[in-house]
Amino acid sequence: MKFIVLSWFREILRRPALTLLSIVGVALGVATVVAVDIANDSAKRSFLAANETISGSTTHRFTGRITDELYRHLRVDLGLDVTPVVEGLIESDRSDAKRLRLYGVDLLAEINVSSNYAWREVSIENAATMLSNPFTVLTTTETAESLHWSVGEEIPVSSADGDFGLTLVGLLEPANPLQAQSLRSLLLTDIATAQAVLGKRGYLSTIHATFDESVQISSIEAVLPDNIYIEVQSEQSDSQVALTRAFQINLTALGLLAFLVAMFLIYNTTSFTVTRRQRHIGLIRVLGALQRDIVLCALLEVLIIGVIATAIGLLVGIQLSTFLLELVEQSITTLYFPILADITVLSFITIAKVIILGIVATTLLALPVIRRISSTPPSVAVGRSQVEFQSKVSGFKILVVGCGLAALGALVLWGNQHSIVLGFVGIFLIVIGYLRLVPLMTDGLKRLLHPVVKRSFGVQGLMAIRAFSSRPGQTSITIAVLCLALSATIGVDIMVSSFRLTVDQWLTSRLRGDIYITTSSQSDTGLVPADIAMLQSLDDIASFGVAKWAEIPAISGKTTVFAVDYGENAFRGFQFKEKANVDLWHEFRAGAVIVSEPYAYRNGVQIGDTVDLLIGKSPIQFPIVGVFYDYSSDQGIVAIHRDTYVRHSNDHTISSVAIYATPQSDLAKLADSIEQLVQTSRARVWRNQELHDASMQIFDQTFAITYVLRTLAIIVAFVAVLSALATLQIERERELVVLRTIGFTVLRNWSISSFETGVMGFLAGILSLPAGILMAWLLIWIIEQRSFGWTMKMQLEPLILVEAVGLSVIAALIAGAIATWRQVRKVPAMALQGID
Amino acid sequence: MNESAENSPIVAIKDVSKSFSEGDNRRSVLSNINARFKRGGFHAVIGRSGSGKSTLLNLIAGIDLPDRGTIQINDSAINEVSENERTLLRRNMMGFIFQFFNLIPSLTVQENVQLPLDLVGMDSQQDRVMNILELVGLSDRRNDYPEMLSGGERQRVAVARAVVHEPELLLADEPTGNLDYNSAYQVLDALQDVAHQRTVILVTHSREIASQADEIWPLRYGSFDVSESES
Repeated sequence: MKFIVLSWFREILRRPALTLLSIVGVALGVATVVAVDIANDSAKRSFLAANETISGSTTHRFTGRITDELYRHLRVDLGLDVTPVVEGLIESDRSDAKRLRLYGVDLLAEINVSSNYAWREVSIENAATMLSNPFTVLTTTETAESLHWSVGEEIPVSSADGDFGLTLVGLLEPANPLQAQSLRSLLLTDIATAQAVLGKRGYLSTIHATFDESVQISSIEAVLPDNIYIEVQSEQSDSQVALTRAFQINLTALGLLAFLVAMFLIYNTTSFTVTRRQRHIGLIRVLGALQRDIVLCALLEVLIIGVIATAIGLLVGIQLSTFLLELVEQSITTLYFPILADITVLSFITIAKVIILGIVATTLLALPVIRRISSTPPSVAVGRSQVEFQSKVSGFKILVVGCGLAALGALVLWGNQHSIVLGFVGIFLIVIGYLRLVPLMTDGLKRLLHPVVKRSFGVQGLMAIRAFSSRPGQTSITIAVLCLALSATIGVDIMVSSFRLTVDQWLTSRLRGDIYITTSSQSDTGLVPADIAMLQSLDDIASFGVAKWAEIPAISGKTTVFAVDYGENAFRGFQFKEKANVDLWHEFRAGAVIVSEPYAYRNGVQIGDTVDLLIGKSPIQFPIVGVFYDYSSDQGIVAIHRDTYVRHSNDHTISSVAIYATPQSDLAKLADSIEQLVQTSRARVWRNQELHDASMQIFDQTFAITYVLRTLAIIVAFVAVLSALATLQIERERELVVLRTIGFTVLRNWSISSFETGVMGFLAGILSLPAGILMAWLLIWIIEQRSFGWTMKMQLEPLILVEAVGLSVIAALIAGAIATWRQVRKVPAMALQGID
Repeated sequence: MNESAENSPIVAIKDVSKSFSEGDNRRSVLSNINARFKRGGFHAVIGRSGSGKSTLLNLIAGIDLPDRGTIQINDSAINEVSENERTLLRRNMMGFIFQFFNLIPSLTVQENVQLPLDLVGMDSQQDRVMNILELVGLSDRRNDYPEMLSGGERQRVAVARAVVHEPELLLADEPTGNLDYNSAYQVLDALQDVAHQRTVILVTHSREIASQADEIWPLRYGSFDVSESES
């Protein structure tokens, strides 16, 4: 047995390129899965750890429009154990990650409350220095070192409200490693500094409270002003993390896509290994090797490839995760809530998952091939022709299996119309069903090509076509692998570009004002009715409208309310998915609401239903008269006329202002004038196009991670294409060398190889188009809907399809060139003797 | 071995037929043949290309199976046992020499010869490997890979590999068919040196090579030509 194993593995070393390509492919697939897992876990853990560390033993938190005055009332008048918090992200050029978390607290209050806050141990001296000097902060030694920041030194930082200088006056001493991790990139300051830097003068982000069981929450709620709510701290953290679930599942699925392509690469490589080795296997079978000896060798080979690829993938994945984590952080911050993901988590589950995927799944996938290897008849060693190890399956059976799988996939999609995971399972089955049909379609296309090639390229063209017809099984596997990789690329590309175009059109329709006054977030602009009155004094303004974004409780949970009065013209900018057969504008003004598509999807409401909103003290029912397309929030929003909102809430604050200029006005000058007027507030003035562009930039940042994962899948696909086609060509090496001996030049052989691989690449490209478009359609109508509640118009960009076919043909031509290069290096006589 | 066992044939072929499919048709290669190969003899099966001699050898080795009839190796009907049992029978009591050498390119000369011993669990018997390599005149090439050898040398390695585990039956399929005159005789000498006491069934198209045998079995159009049979 020793020499059987020895000869088996020396065979690998004689031609290591194919094995190396397999390892690279699987390692890349594993790396993608690892990186996505680490990025997801790290983002979640960072968020929870940061919350846990900075909220300490906090049991509840107050949310809503919280003022300094409210805090004073709670602490002084009601004597509650509460502490104020003002927090937000700022940027510094000195930080590698660019962003830092500024966290403002009332240190004197913190020191007195019974909590385990990380800064309980802040020395009185440091606290006193910070309180007596504005724009001073404390941070951990580790953060200070990473920023090359010494005590007493001032560094520039910027926030949405402008540029500031912050001076480090002392260092925090975390009590344990967890605290140290979660305090990384955090700057602790006093409330006043945080309010100034973050543009929240007079307001707090939240108020933390530590209530024991004796405290009656309802009695506190009874005396709270309108629109201030009390949340249980643990529930708040959990619900925030739950928001990101759909996003994280999508990332995981994209990561698995790269892995799936890698899996097919392994299957492909193992299949070719069998063909390449059949004479060797036949020979050792003649000499007395049993079937189980062959199975053992083949299993060992696949296991070794799996182990090496998994180990490499794990290491590469850990490196890659740092980069992905930044993108995940960016996306979650844009889509959900601000996070600073600075903890890297490699969980046991991730390691177990990659071992299962990289080693167990790889081996299981290779098992059918190994089973066929073991049945290699000894006669192969003495025969003059090779046996193709592809089970002979009738066209009808292929058709039944392919259509059956696709039907099963459709059934899964239809059976459960909400699960994202089952959505991906259904899509996977449909795509695999399609790929099962690839051999039949390849055969059909070959028949179509045959007369064309014969007429155009003569005998040499036919040689190329017939060469890959001589091994239909292997050719079909190769084309199916290419199809899978390409269709995945096409699907994701069409989905993202459709989404981008839909958002672009949506923004154009919704942004009807010429100039907007708003903040970077949807918070209070600080504009007061007096500012609005001043706007009216400007000559070039034809009209304007105001809006307020508010987070308020509803029966179904916290709801984002968009209280808008941009005028009837702007109201026409809403694109409705469904609407009641009434005068919508009239109903809207009269007190009805319209809900966004994600809101309707998540809450299962439609026209004619009502929304219960807790505006003021008691819930009020609002009739729904329309469902509109909206891509600003995947949790959904309820739009209500501002007058209705103000009538019930008495909240007159303004989040944004839309200004309609007179036709003859100079928009640049008008924008400058408005900026002068509002310069004392923290509002920002945007011209329509600026706001549109900024929104698209945010979209691109949010989807940056999708592009990265898609690129990784393309790289794995490229390796798969190269591996599969190069192997087919290497199989034909002897034949090509024979051609050289009878007078074919290297160039002519190259043209034959390239023609053959080019035709295969082209066929794969063409066959991947329907699968890619189908995948895009399913991603848009199933996955996007289930994940985010969005539907979008599918936009077929011809360039995406051309690129996919081009990628396939280029990889195919490179594979042909590799085969030719191998020939050039060989002396024909040696090649004919089978000597490498 | 008792006297009756000694007199019984090592290979008994009874009413064996074999055909292959060629597209929609079947081509008959062996038709209802019978033969009894005596133990310890040097038998040559002679015939033209396409006469079915290699097919016959493959059937005897259990590499292929007949459509009809039985092939007895000692007391076992090789076509009636399982694939695993056929492999074990081949491993333990047969040696095979091919026309195109079929050495394993990734193993050295010594390792190629050692392989059958490894399979029968006698891999510690290095002396036997060295002796056999000495006998075929290749002990100084033991660390070379097959690609470094000439055709004649490769076939001598194949001979050494076929006999190293001392099989009762040695099957040789045109062992000299791919060699020049001198190399062919070197291989034949080597074969005769190592083959004494064993039954050798050699397939060839050469009357000159066949004339070295104790018994000649002429095969024509898939049947033994009894009129030309010689002892």
